[in-house]
Amino acid sequence: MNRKEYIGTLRRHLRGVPKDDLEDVLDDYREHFEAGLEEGRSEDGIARALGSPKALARQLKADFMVQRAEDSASIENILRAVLAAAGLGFFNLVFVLGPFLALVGVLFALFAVAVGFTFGGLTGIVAIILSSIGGYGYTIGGHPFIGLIFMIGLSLGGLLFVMVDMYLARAFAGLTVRYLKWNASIIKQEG
Amino acid sequence: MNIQFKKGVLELCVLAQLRRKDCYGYELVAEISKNISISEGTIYPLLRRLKNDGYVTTYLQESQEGPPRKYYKLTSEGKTMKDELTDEWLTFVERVNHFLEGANNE
Repeated sequence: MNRKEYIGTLRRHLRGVPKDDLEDVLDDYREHFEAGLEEGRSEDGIARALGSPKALARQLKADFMVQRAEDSASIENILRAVLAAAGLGFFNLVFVLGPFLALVGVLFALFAVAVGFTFGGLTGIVAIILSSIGGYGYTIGGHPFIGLIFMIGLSLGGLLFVMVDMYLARAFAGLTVRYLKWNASIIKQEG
Repeated sequence: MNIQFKKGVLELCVLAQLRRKDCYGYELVAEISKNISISEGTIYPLLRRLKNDGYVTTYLQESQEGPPRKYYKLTSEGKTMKDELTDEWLTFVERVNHFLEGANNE
């Protein structure tokens, strides 16, 4: 593989990286080839010693995604970073994507329960009020008043639950980014 | 040498070389691969991370031939990091050696 092919392959596999960063990365490798040629090495020899450009691009891309998620921890950025890190090899697939999906699942389930409580309570309140007005006497706990208190408690509890869950989600996002950074510093590309 | 082993110590080698003097990328690779055979390209992602974390800074300097080169320089955080990693490494090696000697005597 000559220098042009090497840089070209890197560029192709770094799609999605902002242009300035991309050029910055490519400049490093251009400079490396330049310096190697001055030492009298061949383009092919330098390329071979550098290692697979595809593997390098995957590593660089994952680093950029993690950096971006650190700068702005949006759901999209974190997802991209997790996916990029998971693509770095079997180990990462198991130790990054697996736990991540499991925890997202737990957060989602908690959220569903919380929303269920809130809306269940609200529906109950409406039902009790409507049935009192209509004279059907639908209630819980014997007296419309007790039923109402219960339903209000349920919806407020649900709302509190939603807020706690959102707090957990935010903490989880921060931890994910920190874990990815740590992961990047110990796990390099296989081969 | 085991590949995971090498990857772990590459960071320490980079910091140690930069402690001696500022280097450009190729020079750094050349110095390190004199002693340890590495996949040379991986040094650049590593340098990028070290820079993001504030352990190194870069500056451009003219070369005799061709375009200016990007030099890497340790920051004071980088120097502290190098000292810490060196201590950890020495302790680790000492314990492993101790263990291996014990295993040999059985």
